[in-house]
Amino acid sequence: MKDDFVLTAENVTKTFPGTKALSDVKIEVKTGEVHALVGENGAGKSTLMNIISGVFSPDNGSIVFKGKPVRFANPNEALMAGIGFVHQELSLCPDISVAENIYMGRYEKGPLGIIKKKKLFADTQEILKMFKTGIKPEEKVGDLNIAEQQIVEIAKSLSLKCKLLILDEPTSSLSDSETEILFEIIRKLRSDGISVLYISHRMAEIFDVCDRVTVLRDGYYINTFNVSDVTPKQVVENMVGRELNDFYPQKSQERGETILEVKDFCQKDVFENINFSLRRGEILGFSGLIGSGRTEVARAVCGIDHFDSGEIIYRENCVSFKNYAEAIRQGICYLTEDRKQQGLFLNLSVKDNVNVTIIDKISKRLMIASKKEAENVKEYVKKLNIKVSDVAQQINSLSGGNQQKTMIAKWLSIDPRVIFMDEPTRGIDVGAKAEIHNMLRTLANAGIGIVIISSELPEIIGMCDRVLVMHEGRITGEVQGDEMTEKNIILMASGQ
Amino acid sequence: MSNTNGQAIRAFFNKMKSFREATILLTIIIFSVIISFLAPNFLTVDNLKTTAIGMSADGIIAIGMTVALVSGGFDLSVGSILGVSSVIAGVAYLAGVDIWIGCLISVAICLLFGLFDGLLIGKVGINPFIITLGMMQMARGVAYVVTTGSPQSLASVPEAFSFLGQKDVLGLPFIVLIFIVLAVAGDILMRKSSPFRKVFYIGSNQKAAKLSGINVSKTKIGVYMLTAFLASISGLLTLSRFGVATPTAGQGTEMRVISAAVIGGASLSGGQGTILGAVLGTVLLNLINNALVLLKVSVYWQQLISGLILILAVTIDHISHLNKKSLKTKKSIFTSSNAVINNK
Amino acid sequence: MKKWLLKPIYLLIIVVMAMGLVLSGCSSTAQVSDSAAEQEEPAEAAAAQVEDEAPAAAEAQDTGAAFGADPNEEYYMVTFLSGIEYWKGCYKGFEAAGKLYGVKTIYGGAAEYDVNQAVTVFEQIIANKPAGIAVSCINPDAYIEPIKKAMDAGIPVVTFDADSPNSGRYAFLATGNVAAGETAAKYLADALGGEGDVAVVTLPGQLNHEERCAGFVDYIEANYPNMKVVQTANGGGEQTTAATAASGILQANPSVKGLFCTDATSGVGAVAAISETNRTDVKIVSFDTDKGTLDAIKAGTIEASIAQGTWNMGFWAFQQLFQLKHDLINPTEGWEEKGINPLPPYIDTGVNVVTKDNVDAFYVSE
Repeated sequence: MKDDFVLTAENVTKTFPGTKALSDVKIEVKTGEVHALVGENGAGKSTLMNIISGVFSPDNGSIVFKGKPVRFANPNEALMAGIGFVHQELSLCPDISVAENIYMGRYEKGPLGIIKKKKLFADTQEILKMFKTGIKPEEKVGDLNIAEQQIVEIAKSLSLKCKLLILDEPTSSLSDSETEILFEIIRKLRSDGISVLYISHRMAEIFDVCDRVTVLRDGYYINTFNVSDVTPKQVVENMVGRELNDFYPQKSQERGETILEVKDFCQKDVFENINFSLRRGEILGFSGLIGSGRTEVARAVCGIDHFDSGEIIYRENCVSFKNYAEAIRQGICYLTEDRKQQGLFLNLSVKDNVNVTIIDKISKRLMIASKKEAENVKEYVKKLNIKVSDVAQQINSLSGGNQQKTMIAKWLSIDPRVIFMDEPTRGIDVGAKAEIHNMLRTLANAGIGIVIISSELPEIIGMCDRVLVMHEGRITGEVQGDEMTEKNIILMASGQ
Repeated sequence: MSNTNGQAIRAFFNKMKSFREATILLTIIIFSVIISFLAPNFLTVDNLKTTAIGMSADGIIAIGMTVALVSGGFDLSVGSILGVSSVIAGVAYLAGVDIWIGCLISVAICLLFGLFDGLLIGKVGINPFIITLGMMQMARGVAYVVTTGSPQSLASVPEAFSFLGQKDVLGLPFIVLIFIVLAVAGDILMRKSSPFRKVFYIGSNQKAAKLSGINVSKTKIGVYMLTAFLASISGLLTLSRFGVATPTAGQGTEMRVISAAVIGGASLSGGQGTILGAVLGTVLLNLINNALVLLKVSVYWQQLISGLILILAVTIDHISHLNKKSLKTKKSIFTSSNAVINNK
Repeated sequence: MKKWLLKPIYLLIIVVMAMGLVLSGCSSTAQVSDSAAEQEEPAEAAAAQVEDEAPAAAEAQDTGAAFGADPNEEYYMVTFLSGIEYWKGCYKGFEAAGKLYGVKTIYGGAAEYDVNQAVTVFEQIIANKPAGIAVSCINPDAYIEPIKKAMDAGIPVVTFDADSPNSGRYAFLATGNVAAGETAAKYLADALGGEGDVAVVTLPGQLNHEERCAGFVDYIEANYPNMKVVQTANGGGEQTTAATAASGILQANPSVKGLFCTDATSGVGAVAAISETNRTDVKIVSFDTDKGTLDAIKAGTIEASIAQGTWNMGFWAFQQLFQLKHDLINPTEGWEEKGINPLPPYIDTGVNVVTKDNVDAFYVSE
């Protein structure tokens, strides 16, 4: 049985000023296959995808699609030819309807140039039926949640009768149940003969829904495996180029005194009846679906947002923070899940980003001591292994993982006693993830109380000593030890 | 032996290139050289001295405007504050108040205007364009009301006061000296002091600044009080220089000063800018004006040419810095450049 | 009640009400100062309303008010940049004339230098149905329709200082700007002994300033072969800008001995410029008579200033409006139907040269 390939790319090379992004890379995707593409940040996945989808052209190499050699001058050509690309950061227009987004640029118009809305909605409804979703064609895209928006993006590609659908980190903002729906859609596409190129870091997903996986590292093609013939550990080792012993650092049994206690915490219409305590040396996890209120609880405890009733007991004193700056002075801080918009100063240097929280501390008589500035940065670059050649360079030139480490450094600079970490490893590659996990455990062992809010169950189970599960603003359960299983947590997260 | 010398020179040039104000300094130098050939009176002490006096009022205000731009805002009311400040002091003096007390009253009132702006922009969060535009009208209106439209002549003002605007100290006109002192102090503080560093953070990413513990509203209030303060000082110096308090004084200042700051590298979206750059921008703009007069360019052409040069200077500056950035940000440009839709 | 009694009762009520209205109208004097005593007689004329008053006016002549009329008649003076000092002189003349006639004068205008605002204010005043309007037009064409509208509604309109020549307005009163420039040229040339270089600081693009500058330059060229106007610079209407422009001229032309400034602010700037460039020997001839300029003349930093006949503009404008309103002008029989202008269409209110010798006379008390 001859294998039928919908896409073959060979000898693809691409150089940008100063770096070689791809060297002689190849990839083959069969018809009706779900093919995973993995690699660390900087491995070249995005560049390869951009070349295939026409964002830029390769220096060398050939691409054969549906049996014909192609060279796309722009993404639109690729789209029209049948390659759909759903980016990690969605490209929909929030202010217009689902139908108008899907058929953008292809509206059927009547005699006066007026769009035939009825037909538009009817066609859209046809496509949406495939997804078993309740989205209505006339709904505004901005009113949908991320999972629904993603479906709209996929629908857009499908409406163009694409033969190859590229999905870039599709589940990073989805809950588990939404991910399942996505996988069902992918399986249906496969059975309809449409191929899916699936870019992800999550081994669990890859082994769940994909048929084969191609590994890139540092711009080179490493290998392609059948999913059934290989283990996740082997794949990761290929990605990283070294043997990994443990995914997660060893948990410790030592516990210190209770450093933070929250009683009857309540914010109207957001969360209520929140009770928990945190001990020194402990890593506490907050699990739950997106929107369950975990971020809001953390922000309220730290004094960023207000709360309506309840008590916070910190270091045995009942406290009420006037504002976030006061909480920071006391040693409590919150690491945001949205580093680009809320955590980093993208146009400023790495040095500036690390020192922002201690500006007053390192100033004498309103003048900043540059020696202390430099020392502080040096210390954390070393401790956290931040890959940067010059701390004066702009932070947006660093990779996602290093940016995240910088953000962590900024909070470690205040010598915190309690840190609330919201999605501490979102959007970063396996290598950096492991480093951060190790570091968190080290911090905990040094006596800092850490709360991890995460939507990645493996991370929660692997890192935390205890897990609280929230659902729609309430704590529905607490698990530790053997009880910490995916099944238990998922059950609690959905309200049981 | 020669290698290390070569290396040292190359290192020096590299440092110079990354010195952000280098492009505009170079532009000024080249421009001056060209003009000095075309207009023999350009590089004379007299000409440079009077040009320096002429730009000092704008320059002092440019210091404050840079800070406002770095914070992500700007202050359109500075010209009106200049006018109202000189008018309040003049009218107070003519009403019998000691001129120095009159100055203090004027500064205090202008600080109140700044506080008003700062509260609305910093605490309430209204767009600085609207607030400072409104203040521009308000302050100018106060100047008209206080003088009922008539310029106030300070014919008999004490010499100690007119000294400020009219006399020299160690060969430098006093007004220029004040400008230089304020500019140097301002530049150092911008680079090295903690309250001004916070302005950078706020301008770069206000949300992140708040989430890093910075008191955004307090800092912004300070910014607008600073712009008002410097505009008020400029108004008092103008009063001293001319001996007349005209309610129309300062009109058009805000646009010139914003142009100067932007030419000097300040970004209109915040988080970027230096006082040295703003000063160089002021110098360039004023040299251009001066050259146009010395070269006897027809008045009808002067505005056209000034505008063209402004656009040219900003474009060159933008392009030269674009090249440096593109290398380092290849990832952010090429990996994800699509709109992010917020999850509700 | 018998029917035949009702009619007299109604008549009585009406007469009493009319008298009450008239008496209350008498007691408000507004901006009219001297005519309080003379209000009783004009009350009759007022009751019959204001139009076509020739007989009433003749009657009122006995009362002592020069040309008596309804004290509630309103005459408007409308300007642009209404807050500046320049118009004060004009309005003083206008108001003085109004007092002579025992009627109300009101000053209005747009605060900004903006044509839309200025025309809007003018049209709002038309809606008030005034007895007459003297207006200074920020832009000649913009006022063509509005003035026509006013005139069609029976409101006489004259322009002063800045004209709208095609609007059909009755007359235009202003400084002959060209002549003013010539006067300045003559004065400066005499002061410099008929030789040397001079320069001008002006507001290019504004008609009256262009005319002053042209008058100056042409006169020098025609009459003083040993003199030359070497440069013209833009004072920008703001003292710092004017100072920079003047300094520039002085730096570019070391031979300049005299400066002509077509507006007062440029003069203020020029004064600072000559002191800062150490060229205090340069003679300045400026324009208008605000206090700062007068003080400078007294101090000797400004040689002389051209004072415009602003008082006269207002005074004679008012007279024209009143005469028109009350139909007192009749040079040609039936001029109105035949479309003949009854007034002298242009009055040059002239200029005076203010020097150290006569400066004290020009100080205006507020």
